[in-house]
Amino acid sequence: MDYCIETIELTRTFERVTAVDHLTMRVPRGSFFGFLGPNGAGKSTTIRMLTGMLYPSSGQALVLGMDVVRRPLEVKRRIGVAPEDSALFENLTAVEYLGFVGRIHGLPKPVIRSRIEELLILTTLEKAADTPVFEYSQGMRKKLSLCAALIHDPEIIFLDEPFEGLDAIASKTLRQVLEQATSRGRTVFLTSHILQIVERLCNYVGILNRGRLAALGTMAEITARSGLEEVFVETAGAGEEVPHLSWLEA
Amino acid sequence: MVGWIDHALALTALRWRLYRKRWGLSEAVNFAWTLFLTLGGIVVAGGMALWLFRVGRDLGAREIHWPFASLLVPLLLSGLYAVCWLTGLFYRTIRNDMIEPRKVMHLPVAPTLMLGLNFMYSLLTPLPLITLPAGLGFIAGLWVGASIRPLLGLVTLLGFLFFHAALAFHVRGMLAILVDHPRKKRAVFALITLGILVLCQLPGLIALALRSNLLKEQPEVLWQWLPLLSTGVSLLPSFWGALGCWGLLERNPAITVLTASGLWLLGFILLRTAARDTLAYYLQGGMYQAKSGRGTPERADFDRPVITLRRLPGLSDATGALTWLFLVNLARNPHMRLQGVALVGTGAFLMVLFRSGIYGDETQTFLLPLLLVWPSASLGLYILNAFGVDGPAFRGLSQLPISGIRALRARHIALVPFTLAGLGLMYVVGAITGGVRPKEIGMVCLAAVPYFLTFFAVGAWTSVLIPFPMTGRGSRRALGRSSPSGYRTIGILLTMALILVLSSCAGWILDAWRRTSPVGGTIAWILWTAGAALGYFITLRRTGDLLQRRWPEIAAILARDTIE
Repeated sequence: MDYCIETIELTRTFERVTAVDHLTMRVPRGSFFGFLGPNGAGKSTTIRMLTGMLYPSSGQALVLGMDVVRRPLEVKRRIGVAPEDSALFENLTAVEYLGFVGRIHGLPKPVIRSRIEELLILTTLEKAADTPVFEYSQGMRKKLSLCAALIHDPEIIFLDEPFEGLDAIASKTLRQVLEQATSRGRTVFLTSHILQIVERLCNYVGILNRGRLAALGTMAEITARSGLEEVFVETAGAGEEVPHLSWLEA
Repeated sequence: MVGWIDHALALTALRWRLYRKRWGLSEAVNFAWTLFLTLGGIVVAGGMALWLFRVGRDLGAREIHWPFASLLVPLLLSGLYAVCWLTGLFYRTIRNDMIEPRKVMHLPVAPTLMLGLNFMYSLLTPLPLITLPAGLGFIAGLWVGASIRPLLGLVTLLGFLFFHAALAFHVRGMLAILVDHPRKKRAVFALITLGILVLCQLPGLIALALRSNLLKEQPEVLWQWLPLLSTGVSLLPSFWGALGCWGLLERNPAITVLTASGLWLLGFILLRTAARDTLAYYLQGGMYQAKSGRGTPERADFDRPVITLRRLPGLSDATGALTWLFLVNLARNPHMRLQGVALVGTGAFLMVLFRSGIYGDETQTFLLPLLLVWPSASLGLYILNAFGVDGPAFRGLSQLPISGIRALRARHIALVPFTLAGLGLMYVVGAITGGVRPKEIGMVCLAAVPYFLTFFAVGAWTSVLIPFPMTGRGSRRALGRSSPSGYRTIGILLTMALILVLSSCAGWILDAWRRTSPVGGTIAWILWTAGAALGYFITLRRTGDLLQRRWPEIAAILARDTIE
């Protein structure tokens, strides 16, 4: 099988906390990969390391066969990233920001223009195209961040909690776009807390717990015995005993 | 009633906890700091009370031999209070509510209790706490010196303080509502900066007025202002306390009763309006309107020119795009706009000073280095901490294929127009004042070349080695890794040191050109320029590589990350 993402003993520590602990995994090319884990498991840290936004403390991350630390620019040219915190320039409008991203990726101007229009219409941001980002709601920022990740038709799309803050219509549109991308051989690497979406979209799953890989495989393999939620709860280390609220028991 | 007391105690405990956490210091240091502040406050308040007791006693005993002393002295004291009050208002423009209404609106807390507590705690600031004993000292002095009615004096004093506290509460509440709207927020902060500038220049302008020949030669001019002064006093409630005091001294209690009643009445009206506006804002949809911005705009015209798609001559496509991004983002940045306001304000003030002839023949000595120093002082932090103003958005760049050297080069090119605008403005000021001839402006332009090349070279190193967030989100989040305020202080000190060194070099060259040795000045300039240019280009390459390596770390510092 052809793998487009590979991590070898990837580790990241922050002072006394180990956010990602000797992570070794491979993601097949063209897959829709769901990266799951409870809060603080190290999902965002992993995405940051895979996209060259954070250096690992040790280990290696290979994206499209290239070492992310050694060849960050080559990797970034071929991937698209929508981080969780939508790091956007507040004083620019959507059109200006997407124009900038398009040029950085070396797209011709007519292509940039047409793609901006298509992306903004798709994400229903066309009416806010000339509004500065600081006036955007959280959902609008997320949409713009997604547009920036998609404008150059990247080979791998990294999405950190892409469905958080999106309304049902935008969520459906995004799902369609991502499915279309994977059907064209692109790889989608996403983190999400919404297990139903992951179960429906992804064909490959990894579960991270306290920085360590707890499960990895195809969706069919992972959910062979029970549903994804049960597997997740079990793998993520939740105990058998579920705490109760005393005043609701009576 | 019990519920109210419980709520008040719970809210007070919450506030105290928040207050203590704000310092982020250890228990012992926190205690020592609070003790120091308390003792310092007691000493200042005690000193003020004693001093004003003497003033009151002498005034009551008619031992202050000024014309209209019984009115002028209270007026001066009210004026002093008003300046301190205004400074406090500008220092903390937005009401720092004990409990933010939006955070407890979902709880069963009575809005009036919440607002009442917020007002009560707004009184626990240094000015009222120092003014109350000082005012009591003054009233006691008047009682001893002139046997005034002390109770009436006390009511007037409390009314005076109550009115100002209510006014501050009202204004701050109004501003807090205004700044909820992103656009209005920027306008408010620009106006506040202008206000601070004007306030800071007041002592200078007063000194200027006192030094002017007109007042020296014809002091009787002051008397012509008396009708205007008395009208102003009776119209401005801030001076009603002084009027009440005058009424007490002149044995005219009706004036005192009238002014004291007026102050209390106005205070209550202001409090009531503040409460009504605040509640209306939160409960009747104002908050949600503010958040929703300008309403639904029309669909964008995708065919019109887009600034980030424009080419910049001599630059590659990516560098051009990056330069436009930085330029537009900086030009629309409220912090940068405030710098513009500060430059204009100071330029106007300098013009007044130099035009007054206060510096006589030494105008050039002061003005020429100032033409370089002031723009660099205004922009210094933006050059020495080039990416700080981007805050969390800097991470957005790290996900794109942008090299460090390209980012630094684009940033510097984007900063050049701001530097030139600052210089240009100061040259205009210099030319208008008449103190600087065109030839001298040319000299300063030449000196600016190595001056700013060196500034940018040092700035490239500091931007990469000691970055700190300068945006609201980044600079306010108090997390442990590094202290933005500490780094800001280092940045400011570094800017000052750099300006001192560079302006000394530039000043020497300018002086040599003007007076002592034009040839020596020219040789020094050529050497400095060549060295600075060479140093800049070597620096750009080295710091570009360093930025590339440190990019994730810098992005994390600017975004003030938590561990995920």
